[in-house]
Amino acid sequence: MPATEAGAPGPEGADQPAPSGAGDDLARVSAERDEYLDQLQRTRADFDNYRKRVERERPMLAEAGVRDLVGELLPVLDNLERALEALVAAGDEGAQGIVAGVDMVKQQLGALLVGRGVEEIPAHGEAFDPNVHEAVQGVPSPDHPEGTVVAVVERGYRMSDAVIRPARVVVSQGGGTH
Amino acid sequence: MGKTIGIDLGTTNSAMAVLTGGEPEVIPNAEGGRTTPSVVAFTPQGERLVGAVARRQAVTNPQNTVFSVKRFMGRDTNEVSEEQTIVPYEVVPGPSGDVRVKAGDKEWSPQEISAMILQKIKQDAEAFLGEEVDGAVITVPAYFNDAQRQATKDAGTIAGLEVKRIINEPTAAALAYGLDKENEQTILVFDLGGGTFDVSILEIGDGVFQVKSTNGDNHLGGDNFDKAVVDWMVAEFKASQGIDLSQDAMALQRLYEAAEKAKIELSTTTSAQINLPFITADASGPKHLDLSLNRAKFEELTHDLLTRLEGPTKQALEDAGVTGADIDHVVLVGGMTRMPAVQERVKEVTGKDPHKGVNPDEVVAVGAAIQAGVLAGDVKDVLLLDVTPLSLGIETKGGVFTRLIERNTTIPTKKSEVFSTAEDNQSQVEIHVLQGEREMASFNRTLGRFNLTGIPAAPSGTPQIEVTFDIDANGIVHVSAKDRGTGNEQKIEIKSSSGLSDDEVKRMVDEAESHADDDKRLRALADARNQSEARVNEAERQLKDHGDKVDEALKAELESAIQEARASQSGEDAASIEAATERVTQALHKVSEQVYQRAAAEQQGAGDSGEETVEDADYEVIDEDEPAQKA
Repeated sequence: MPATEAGAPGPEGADQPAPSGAGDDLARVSAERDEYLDQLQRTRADFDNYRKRVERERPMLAEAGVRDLVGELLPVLDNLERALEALVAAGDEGAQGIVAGVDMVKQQLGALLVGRGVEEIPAHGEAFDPNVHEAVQGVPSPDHPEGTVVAVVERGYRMSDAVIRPARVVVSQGGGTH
Repeated sequence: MGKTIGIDLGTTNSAMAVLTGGEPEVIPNAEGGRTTPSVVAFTPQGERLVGAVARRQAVTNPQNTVFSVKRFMGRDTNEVSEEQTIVPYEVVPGPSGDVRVKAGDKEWSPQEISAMILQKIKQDAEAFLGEEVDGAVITVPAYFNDAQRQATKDAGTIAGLEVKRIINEPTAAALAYGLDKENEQTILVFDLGGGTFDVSILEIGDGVFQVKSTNGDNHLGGDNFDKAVVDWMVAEFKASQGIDLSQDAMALQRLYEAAEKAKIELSTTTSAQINLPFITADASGPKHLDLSLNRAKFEELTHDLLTRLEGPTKQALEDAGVTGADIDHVVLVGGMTRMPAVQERVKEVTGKDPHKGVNPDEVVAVGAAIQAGVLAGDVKDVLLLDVTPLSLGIETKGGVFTRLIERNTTIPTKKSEVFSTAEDNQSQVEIHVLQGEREMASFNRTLGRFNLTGIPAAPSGTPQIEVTFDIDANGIVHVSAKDRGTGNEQKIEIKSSSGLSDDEVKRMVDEAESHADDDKRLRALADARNQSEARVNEAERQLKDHGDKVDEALKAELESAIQEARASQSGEDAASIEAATERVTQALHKVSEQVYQRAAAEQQGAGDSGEETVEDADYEVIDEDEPAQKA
């Protein structure tokens, strides 16, 4: 390939030996122009779509931030509930005041979450729905139709229809073997 | 014409990404997840579920929940006898001996199942992008044979995607780091995912990747590491409480979650606390699990797993006919590669630090998106936008480096800021243009300097000098300084703002990091001095203008405060300079108060409170003084 003049790099891969004429130049420049215009339009379109999407996402992002925090708080709520259950199970007469107090703490946290639009996902006795429930176990159960939630292992929560955490449940497998 | 996206169609999880404005971006699925479980389920109601929803019902519907279908892609039943026994769903031979999956009362080819996953990915991407998606680049393991690649391509076609190309996962990972621009280099791609481990050696030349060798372990991944931690927790609990948690399904679930969390934590911290209150109970009451796991212990627990990484790595090197020393680049894939001990093992073999910056869970999808962009014509060298490798700015009062353009700003770009003079009646300012990341000008690199002269006499801080940095697409920096009062302007053009090799840029950035604390102290000292000087100047002005309107005692107090502040300025302690400045401020407040009170008394007029506000505002302005030019 002949050396091109300094400062005027030739089109890459072109190997015509003769210097190109005005017509070729025009064709090359036109092709370049079309390519640049195409690039510009693509970039503009990309940016425009990006802008629209960011606008669409903005309100969702704020909620996603709350959702993340709530998601991390849920195990704390779970443990508070476990503590309460254990206290009640212990059945200590003298501890009744403490039980009532801890229950108030739990309600305080619950009210805070409700205020943020968090709601508990109904599970017990409902038909199993993998969109909001996660099956951890299946058990034969003559008392419940197949596919019914017979126990909740961990409560599930959602916020404006988005599942923060599915309810962990035990599902009936129907009559079993009598 | 629709968009083309990049898809990492994984054994356990899949991910997708797209190139927007030349930058790759991971697309979250409809549920908001950045990866989608590669699971398809058929419910008794005849519904078809894909992703996390399918996984959630697996326990109650194991025969009709299909996962790990990638292991069957393009295989014959006689090749997969081992895999077949692991999965709970039924695998049957098709008409030509190929694998069929029996689920939901129908027989499906692995292509069809994969297509269902791809369909969800396509739909979710379209919802996210607000555009039609009709093309895809899909990745496959480097060891996939022609039949497996063809099956993957067919899956895409069934899902309504034009598969623009099938590329190797390690190649995609290398693309994500821009390694296609290198020449004659050897790359080691180390992929430790949730359930599989792959090592690949690639060679790159003239923009073409060649797979020299692959090795790995089909059943080694993050899940094994989680299990090692769970086993340890169970043993510890049994030793201390005498209760075997491994028999308690509910407790086990909590243990696995806690193990994964601790594992992730230990990638960035040296110790993790595992708290699981009320994990179980016996006759004596509730029992809590409270353990501390440090990094060394975690590495001890997973020692055997870490050792299992070495064999395949060494074998891959041997098969490629290279040694660790021949490796030019190391690329990490898969969440498990975040574990420091895993990285150390790789470094032991190669002696190289891995590339960092792209999320290892997403690096393959990102690379596929880049390839998709190239094929769709979105990426062309002519319009690749460059960035400034280092920050650009000027020197201001006290030797401080004031940035106008931050590093990594995409060019072309332009930015202006207004500065002023430091001294009364200053007739010229020097614009000292610098490049670098250090806080003080003297540690940065001088690009050029020039003077703006002919500034009319005025008190310090009054003239407005607009300094403009304009970097064009070729990286040429134009700096101008304009006196807004007179319209006088001076400019300079700096040819190569970089002119620096990548190594030099890296050195400068590293130095800034290692000196960050020292620089912060020097910067604070310079700021304190500047503040002190400004306050002292202001105080002297007040004394000159209103000195006759205040008590001698107050005047003396301010004068001595000024003297103290002056003396403190030559010291090296920012805090004592600030304290002295504060005393000037206090004295100044008292002086002003008295001046206003007397003025008010003379006028005997109303509006006391209004004037108080004016007074406060006045000081605010002094506080916010723009950094002034060094004379």
